[in-house]
Amino acid sequence: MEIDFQQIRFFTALMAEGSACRASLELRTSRSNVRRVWQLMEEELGEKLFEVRDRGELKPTTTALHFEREMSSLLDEIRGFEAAVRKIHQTGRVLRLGADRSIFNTRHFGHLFNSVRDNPQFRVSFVEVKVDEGRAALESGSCDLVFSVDGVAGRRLETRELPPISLAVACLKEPPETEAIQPCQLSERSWSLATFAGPKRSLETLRQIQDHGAGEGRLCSQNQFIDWAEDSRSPGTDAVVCVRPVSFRRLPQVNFVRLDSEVGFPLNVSYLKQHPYEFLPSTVDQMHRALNPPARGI
Amino acid sequence: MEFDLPSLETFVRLADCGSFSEVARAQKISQPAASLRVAKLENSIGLRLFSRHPDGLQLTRDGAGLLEQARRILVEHRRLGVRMERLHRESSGAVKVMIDTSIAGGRIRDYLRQPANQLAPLEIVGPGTGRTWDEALRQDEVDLVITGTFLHAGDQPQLQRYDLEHQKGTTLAWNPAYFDFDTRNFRFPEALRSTILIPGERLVPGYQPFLERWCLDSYGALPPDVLVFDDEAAALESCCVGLGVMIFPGDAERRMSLEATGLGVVKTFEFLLPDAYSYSIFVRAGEKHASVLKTAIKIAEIYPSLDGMDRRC
Repeated sequence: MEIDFQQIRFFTALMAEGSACRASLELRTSRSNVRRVWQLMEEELGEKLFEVRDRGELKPTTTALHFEREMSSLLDEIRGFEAAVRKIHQTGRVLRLGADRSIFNTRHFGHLFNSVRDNPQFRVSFVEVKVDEGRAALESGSCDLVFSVDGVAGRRLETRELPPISLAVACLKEPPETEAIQPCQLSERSWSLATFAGPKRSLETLRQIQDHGAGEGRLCSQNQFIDWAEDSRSPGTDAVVCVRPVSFRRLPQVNFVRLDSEVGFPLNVSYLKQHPYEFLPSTVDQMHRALNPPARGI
Repeated sequence: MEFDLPSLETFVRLADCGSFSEVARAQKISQPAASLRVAKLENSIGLRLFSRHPDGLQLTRDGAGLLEQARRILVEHRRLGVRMERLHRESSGAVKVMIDTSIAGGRIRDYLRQPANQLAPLEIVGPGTGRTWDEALRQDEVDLVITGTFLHAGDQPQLQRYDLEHQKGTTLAWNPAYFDFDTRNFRFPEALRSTILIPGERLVPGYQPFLERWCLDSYGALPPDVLVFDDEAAALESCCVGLGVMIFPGDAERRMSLEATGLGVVKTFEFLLPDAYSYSIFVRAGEKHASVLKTAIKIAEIYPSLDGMDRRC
């Protein structure tokens, strides 16, 4: 005998409400649907469950009373399951943020993390996801949100743009009180752009900076950038345009100054369209708001 | 939070075996449908239950935490179905009988199948694949069980038994064309040098583990191969074609009419195992349902004549 959860729900409502009409209101369905499920159950059980009195009032038969009694342990287990789920919801579901190492190591990501850290709906953890593994990581469920420069393509994925990662200039000689450097000020120096998120995107960004009147620049890798910063006497480069890393405190001789320009690396966040966590879109909204300073946003 | 039963079942099965294709086959649905069911459950409870890895599925921590509760729901649901069926049987006066696949069981089955011999609407089933006979009886899945048991396997406080037959010792039978055992000076370890054919848990509960332990303890070795049968007729046939030595508890010679087959037969251990085998009717202790009791009494009454009937043939 197969009694499914819908039948049990309908039966409980009929027992509690005492009429098909009120049960249908309670179950938010039509009266004929209630009747259909009720009849189906009576066929399964081979016995009548309710006697209809005047004005549609129902009187449960002994079978129905037996059924209600026998059902209570199943209902207890179902309630136990729901309670367990609710408990997990209350303590906060685990939200795994995935990104490439270089994206984690930015101030931008730090802001982003801090904007959602206190949300009681979830507890945040990090997963390192290589640039070309974003889709696999999302579809396998090893992380819930993937941050990347180019976004993650996939039929089942939703990708949304976040405020771009702005650029900074690492200088050796700049006095610390300087707040920002105009791109045109770069033309007086020999400068490089530290690659971020692949050579193609970096080359494009280099051209954009040059178009803003910054003169001729070169590309250098993250490793070259660090070598340069550690060995400050190396000739040939006065400044490196870069995404400001978080872990750079060990080099006090380097000053970071904001590059006053719209040019930057885009940042995208991707997630499964049918992710069990219903709060992902709103969380992304929250991140978006946090990264967009109100002065610019409003 | 509205989840349905099939999804829960898919969740539990998937956690147990870890393969979508296997679960899909077991639940008779397609693989995408199985995957969809899990996705549906995940969405309705707002939690991830599995993460998919190249080397298979893995339960998440949330999934692992919910698995046992989900399992309990399924167990309770099955029990509810069983209890409702029992209530239904009670109110309609029907009886569900489980009969083992022994030769005597076959006779009872044939007798009960004739509508004229039924005192109440009867449903006859064989020993199922999932639950053992005593569980099925205790949990109201069936009302009457007719089965052979070895030693005390049938002595349980929740069950009441009536022995139709009581037999001593153990019977060995073999095809003399293959095995030339000396019936006069038979030595048991000789038989253990060949494949043995024995009844399984669904035919004579308790026998197989006992025999294996006994072989190890007393003779220090297991036979090269043990073929387990849930059907006396099939075991007899295999013995006749020479697959191995049949070792059945009790007086299998009489039970299975071995004298007609020309097999070599030895009965032994009658002193060591004075009540090795009983063929009994079991009902739940305190059974009040009249048609169950009536059916049991009727079978007990008719059993000796069934045996004789067959003998005359």
